Amino acid sequence: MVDRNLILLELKNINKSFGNLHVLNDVSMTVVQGKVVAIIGPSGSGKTTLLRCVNALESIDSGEIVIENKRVNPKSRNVHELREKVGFIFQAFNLFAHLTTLENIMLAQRIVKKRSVKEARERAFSLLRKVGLEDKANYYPSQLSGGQQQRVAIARALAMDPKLLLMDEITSALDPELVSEVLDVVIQLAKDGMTMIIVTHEMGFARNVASRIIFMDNGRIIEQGEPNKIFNNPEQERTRDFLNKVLNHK
Amino acid sequence: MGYKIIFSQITPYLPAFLKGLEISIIISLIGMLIGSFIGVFAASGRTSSVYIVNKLVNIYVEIFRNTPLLIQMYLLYFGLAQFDIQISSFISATLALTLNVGAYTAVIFQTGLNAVHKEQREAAYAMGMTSFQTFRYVILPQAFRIVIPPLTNQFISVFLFSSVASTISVRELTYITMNVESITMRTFEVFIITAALYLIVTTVISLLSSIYERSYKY
Amino acid sequence: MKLDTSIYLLDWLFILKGAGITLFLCLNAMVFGSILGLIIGTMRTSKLSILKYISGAYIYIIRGTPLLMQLFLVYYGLPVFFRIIVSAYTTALVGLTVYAAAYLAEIVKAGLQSVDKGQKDAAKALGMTSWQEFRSIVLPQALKVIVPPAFGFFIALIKDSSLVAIIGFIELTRSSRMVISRTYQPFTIYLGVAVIYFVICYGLSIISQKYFKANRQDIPKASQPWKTVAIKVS
Repeated sequence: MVDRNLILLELKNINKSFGNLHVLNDVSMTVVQGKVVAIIGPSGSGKTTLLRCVNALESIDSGEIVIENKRVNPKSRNVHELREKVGFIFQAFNLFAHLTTLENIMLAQRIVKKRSVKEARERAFSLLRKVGLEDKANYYPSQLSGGQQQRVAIARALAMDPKLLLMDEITSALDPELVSEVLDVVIQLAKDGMTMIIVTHEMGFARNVASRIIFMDNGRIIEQGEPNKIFNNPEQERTRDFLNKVLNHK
Repeated sequence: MGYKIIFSQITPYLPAFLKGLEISIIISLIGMLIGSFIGVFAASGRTSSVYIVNKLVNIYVEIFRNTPLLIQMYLLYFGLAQFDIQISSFISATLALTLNVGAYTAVIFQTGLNAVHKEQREAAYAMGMTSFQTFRYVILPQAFRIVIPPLTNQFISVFLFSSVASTISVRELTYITMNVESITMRTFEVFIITAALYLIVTTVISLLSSIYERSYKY
Repeated sequence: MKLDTSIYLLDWLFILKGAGITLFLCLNAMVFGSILGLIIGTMRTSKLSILKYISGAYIYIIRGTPLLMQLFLVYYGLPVFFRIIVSAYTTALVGLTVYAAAYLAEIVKAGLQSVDKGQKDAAKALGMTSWQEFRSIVLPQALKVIVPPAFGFFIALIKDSSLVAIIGFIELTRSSRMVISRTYQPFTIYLGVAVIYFVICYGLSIISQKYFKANRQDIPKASQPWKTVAIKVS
């Protein structure tokens, strides 16, 4: 079983600006191992930027990022070691276009984790099976549907055995009928105990899979709490406004 | 290094440099203008459905695109002498350059015309325009804009390769440069002047082209 | 007509040997020019302005002045400036390499920039170092965009290399001049030389059309994954 008392990620007073735009404003949060946190909020609220700061794809202006009780320095030369522990799934999938599905999953295993070809291939196959795509092993990304590509992207990130998975609106770029196949994979991952931070617009899914919901707006965390509380009885007015707009539109 | 840069030895030769530049520009202009004219006809020849025209034009274009300009000039200037035909160096160089430009611009114009989507042609016909009207009012203006950038590159290339004429003793800029260099032995200064002159002209050509392009960018 | 048959087979073989030397010289210039072009191309996209300006100035000057002039500069400049005597081959190679690098730099830059940023993000996210990201993700995809125009430049370089004859390097054009000075048959010889250049350049351009066109539409059939394809589709 998973040790529920281990805090995997801690963000302390994160500030970030792009030029004059103050995108993240004193953001703090913790994530406990084995739990799933869903971040919701309007576009421009800083959700994606926050996620990208956690695995150092963006640098922060001030504040601390602590992973497994070790402070992380996004500007250090060994930042790629951090990224072995933290996986990232992109909205645009970003599969390597010149490699087959199998090769996509094997590449980082071989050159970053230095696994043997045999080991990497076995792991790749087992992960493809897990996401239901082992028959597409020799296909190129351009030959797969969006939902299939995203599932491969998940397998690719899992192949690195990350402690934490970050997901940035991973179904927003998909045609509606392809969304559920991806969400099903994520739900299964949650059941298996994977620690995840998910930025999403899919409210039903967030409610279902997350143990905590965080609502962000204008670069701040406005409210956070259990899904039932946030969705049924939000404290803050802004939260209520946002949920009204989003849920009633459905 | 023990090499001091002294420009004073070169300055008396400045008029000679400018005269050489003038010749370079004249050769390039003639080559570009007459060459483009030939290119337009060659472009239509390449797309002609008359077999013999098509083949002959294609042979001309491919020959001049796949052989060096130097050899083309040599053939006219030295080669024809074998048959007791003497062509002056200036005419040989300009003729070779013109025929060269004709071949390259043929491809540029052909590509430019093809780049105008056939939907445009269909839309024009659908409105009842004749072939000629379509060509004049719809295809040509758009093709014209498309070919300006490659034509500019071609012009710059022609100007730079006019220097090859110096190898058959045409008194253009590079020839003058080598002369002055051998007289004064001030290699570095001489090349700075020549490079600056070439760069000024090529920069001006590029600038004119960007000004024109900017005026119609939509 | 004064067509004389006193041009011996040996003369033509001598000229053909010159053709081989031309190809050898141009291949070398392409190799070194690509390396130098890669360096300059990456400098052009650097975050350091000084690198951007230096590489920009290099490209501007080389592309704005005639090749013949550059060759003369190397020929006369190297002994005067650096007090070294170099062979005609080195002079020719340096001249052509410097020239090629300026043109290849733009091609390289375009190729590197054509790789979608998301791919680089994904590589970083998987823990790859900058070097791994470049070697395994950026370079293979950039090459696909770089090779077709680079090959086109190679063909042009073969023609432009005729100018090294002027600075005394014995390649195709120079060999032919030597034969002419002996046999006084300039038309016949130069015609033959033109034919040789034509065969090489036209031949290469046909190969280029066939190969690069095939490249674009070649998607490995999903139903036959065991068929390996030389170039992977993008």
